Amino acid sequence: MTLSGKLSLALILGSTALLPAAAMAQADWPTQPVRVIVPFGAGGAADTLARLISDELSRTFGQQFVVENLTGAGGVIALSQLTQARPDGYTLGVNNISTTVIAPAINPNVTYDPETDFTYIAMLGGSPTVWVANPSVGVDSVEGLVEYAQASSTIPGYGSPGAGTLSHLIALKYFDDIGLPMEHIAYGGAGAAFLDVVAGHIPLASGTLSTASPFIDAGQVVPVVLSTEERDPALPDVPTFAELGHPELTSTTWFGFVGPADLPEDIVEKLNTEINRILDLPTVQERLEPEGLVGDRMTADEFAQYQADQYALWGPIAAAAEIEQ
Amino acid sequence: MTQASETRLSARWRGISGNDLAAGLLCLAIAAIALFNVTNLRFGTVMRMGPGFTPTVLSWLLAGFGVALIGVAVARGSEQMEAWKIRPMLAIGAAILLFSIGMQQLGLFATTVVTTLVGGLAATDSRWHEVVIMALVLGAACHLLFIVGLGMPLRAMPVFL
Amino acid sequence: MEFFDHLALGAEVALQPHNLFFCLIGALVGTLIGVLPGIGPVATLSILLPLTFHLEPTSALIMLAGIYYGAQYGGSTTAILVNLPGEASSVITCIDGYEMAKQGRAGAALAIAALGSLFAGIVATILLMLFAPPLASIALQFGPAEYFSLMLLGLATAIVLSQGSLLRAFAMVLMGLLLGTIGTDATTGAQRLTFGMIELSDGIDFVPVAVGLFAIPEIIRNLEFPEARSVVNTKITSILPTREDLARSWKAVLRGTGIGSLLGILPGSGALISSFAAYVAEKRFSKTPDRFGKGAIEGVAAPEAANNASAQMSFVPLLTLGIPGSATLAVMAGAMTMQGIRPGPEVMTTRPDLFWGLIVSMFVGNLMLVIINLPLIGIWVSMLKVPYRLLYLVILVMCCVGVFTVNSSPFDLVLLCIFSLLGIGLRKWKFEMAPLILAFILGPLIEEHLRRAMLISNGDPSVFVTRPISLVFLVLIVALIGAVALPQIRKRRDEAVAE
Repeated sequence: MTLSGKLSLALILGSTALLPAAAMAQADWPTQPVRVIVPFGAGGAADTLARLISDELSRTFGQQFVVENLTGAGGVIALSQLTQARPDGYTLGVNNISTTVIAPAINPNVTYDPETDFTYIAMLGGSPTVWVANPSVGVDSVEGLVEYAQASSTIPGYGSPGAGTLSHLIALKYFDDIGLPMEHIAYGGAGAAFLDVVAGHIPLASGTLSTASPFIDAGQVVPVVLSTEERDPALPDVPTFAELGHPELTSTTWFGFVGPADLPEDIVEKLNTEINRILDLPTVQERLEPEGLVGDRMTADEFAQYQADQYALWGPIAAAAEIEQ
Repeated sequence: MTQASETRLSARWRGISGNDLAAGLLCLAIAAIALFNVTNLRFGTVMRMGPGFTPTVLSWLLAGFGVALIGVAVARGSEQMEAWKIRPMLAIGAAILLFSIGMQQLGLFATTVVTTLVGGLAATDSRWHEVVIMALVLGAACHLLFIVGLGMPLRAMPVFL
Repeated sequence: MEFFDHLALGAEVALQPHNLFFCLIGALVGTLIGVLPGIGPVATLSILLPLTFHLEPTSALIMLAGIYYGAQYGGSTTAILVNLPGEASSVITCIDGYEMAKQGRAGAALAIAALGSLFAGIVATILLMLFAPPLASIALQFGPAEYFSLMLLGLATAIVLSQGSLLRAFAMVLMGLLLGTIGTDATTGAQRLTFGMIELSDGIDFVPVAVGLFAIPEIIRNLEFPEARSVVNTKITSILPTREDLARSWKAVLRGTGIGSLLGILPGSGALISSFAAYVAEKRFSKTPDRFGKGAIEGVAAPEAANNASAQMSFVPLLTLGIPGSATLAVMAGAMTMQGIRPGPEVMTTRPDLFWGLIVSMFVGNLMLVIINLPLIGIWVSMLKVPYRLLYLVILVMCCVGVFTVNSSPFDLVLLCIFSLLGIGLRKWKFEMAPLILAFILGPLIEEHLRRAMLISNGDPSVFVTRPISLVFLVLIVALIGAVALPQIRKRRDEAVAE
């Protein structure tokens, strides 16, 4: 307790006392502690990632990388603050598909432009989406699901972790493409939706694989389809959307490392190399196991391109969805 | 209007319960603000309720209860109303708002001192030297407890230092 | 017997010196933050989480759990002493607890709260050990329809417990429900009543509302009427509860423990609803319901036992289903994930040492809490002897820091001002806050479950009466409201006839 107290004191003193020096001393960055803003609460996937990475970064660069949780408005407040920070490498943050891809497309209160207001540093990976059905429904494939829905006297519902989450949008897009009417039922998080599938209150849910795995392993739900590029070795019988002819639905609820716009290139380069190395460390891999993250390591440029592609793909889908302004 | 009906009217007016009347008007005001701001939200159907469904229904209900409270105010008759004293409200309100501004600029210690000093104006029996000592003690205590002890990420020192 | 095997295994883990140490740290920190309003368990756990990063998982969880139930425990302290509910579940404790403090009986109130919580904590932990898996299957029976009816029952208790007219209580409930709709609509993602302010898109936090409605109006009142506050300052009688207090309380503690243990299993607002339900049950069972709201010790004992029992029981959905029932437990779940352990049904089989060690540590922790807290009561009570012209400054600063640290948001202090004004007005006009605040918290949940239930049933409202658990709750609601409404209506009719 005392330690982190002193740290934050040192941080605040440091950041105010060393301001003039900071601007010019870019080459030997970092010369003072670095803030890492996490837009979500402690204990979540974004927080775990940020802490594991910051821990290692502090070791490599000999300066503390201090994680700060700044919650509010689904992460939008924290990222707005990040765009206001000086691009000197001393304020960094974590973004994800919802804060820089979906929210800017649907929430009029978002003040930043994801295409110009950030420097994209490194892709951290994400958990794919899986659809699961209650075993008693007798659905174990998408064809089976279509048959079940058509045979049903009412419009069946499917759960999602919330309106405008990737898992919701994937389901929305797919059902729209194949012209199957399904009722969307929003839950507060994937766990709650899966639990209602386990209990049989709803037949189907779309959510993150990391949350679903315990239920799948216990045989409480049946996996139907996955949003990975290739089949998951742990679930060899579960097809991907790509196999069903929808390669654009290959996506994860991904996280990334970002800074304010115009971050110096050499700093971005240093961070990208280090973060990619850290993500492959066995100790880090072991800790990240329950988060079920997948995804290729990217250079900073590749990540920026990926973000742009994702925005071009999901932005319009989200905007067209029944998510209201 | 005759003399008699005029006196009856004023008697009835005097006989209104101010407490219920005030609360009734407050309910109506809140309902009106809410109704005015939910018009752009889809109402939906009972099966597929839109985002506007709940706030609209609640606002109308609240407005209804506002009217009912005003009705009760008339029926119940006069009731003693408490007076509002401005000084404590102003001082406490200012102290809270200064805390809000201070935490962004001055840091925890200075902000606590300012808030305590302004808050001290609220009591009529305050002694200024006590308030000053209290301000310094509370400022130091907050710094030690929250920043040193619990390690909360709060600004410790003023921006300009 | 299996129970004793588990107990032995758990004790072996929990009684190791270093785990005892972390349990003590957890209980201490929990007490501290429980006493400080606003610095809720979520904020504290978030701060301490990184420190547990390098600890062994079992020790980390034992400490975090200690903070969690310790805070639940300490939350009643400021509620009783200065009418400041640090957490939603201590709102109800304010009613009779603060009234007791004003009568100079803060010590008795605090002692009963501590002892009631200890008893409830131990009973709930035993239930947890014996029945965790079957209890989890009860939670699974609860679908949207059942949750909707349960939450509605919670609201009904708020109306029943109010002293004044039904009309006023209903108006307060509606105001609370409407305030609860502010923010992003959970079902569609639409921005509602946010007036274009991004700060409002997560809705209004509980802390500025509770502090604004309870603590600040109390300060203002005491400053306006110096003669009223002398009661708080003088004649503190005994610190310990009297024989009569104990005689009145023990049944209340038993009933509170029962209600809390049952409702705590349900993820969501178990602790909050159980504290209200326990209070209302006491008032109904009491031969002298008039004493409630005027410093009845049962009104402290029952809800405190209930909220501690349910805090303990809320580990059932977390450990057996992997579903965190509250924001605090979500941080606990995060702590497990960070350690590479996925919370869920397999924890019990893959890590029995952790599972049973954590549970047995709850016995130890609850005992430590009482040992820490009983001597503190004397200190708290003597704090009330500080002249009010100085004490209110301490309370004011505590309120400001507490509200600010929830989200590090300056905007929350502006909200505090607005709610203080609302609270002062409503108080002057003799309205009660408890129904408003309960409705404010339950409102969004009620709406969510209602809409979900209607979507699942394809718009058929009969689900609420055809599903048995839901029907039971609805019948209870009708009975409760009827029991209050009928005498009021009869009285009015008699008055009308008399005229």
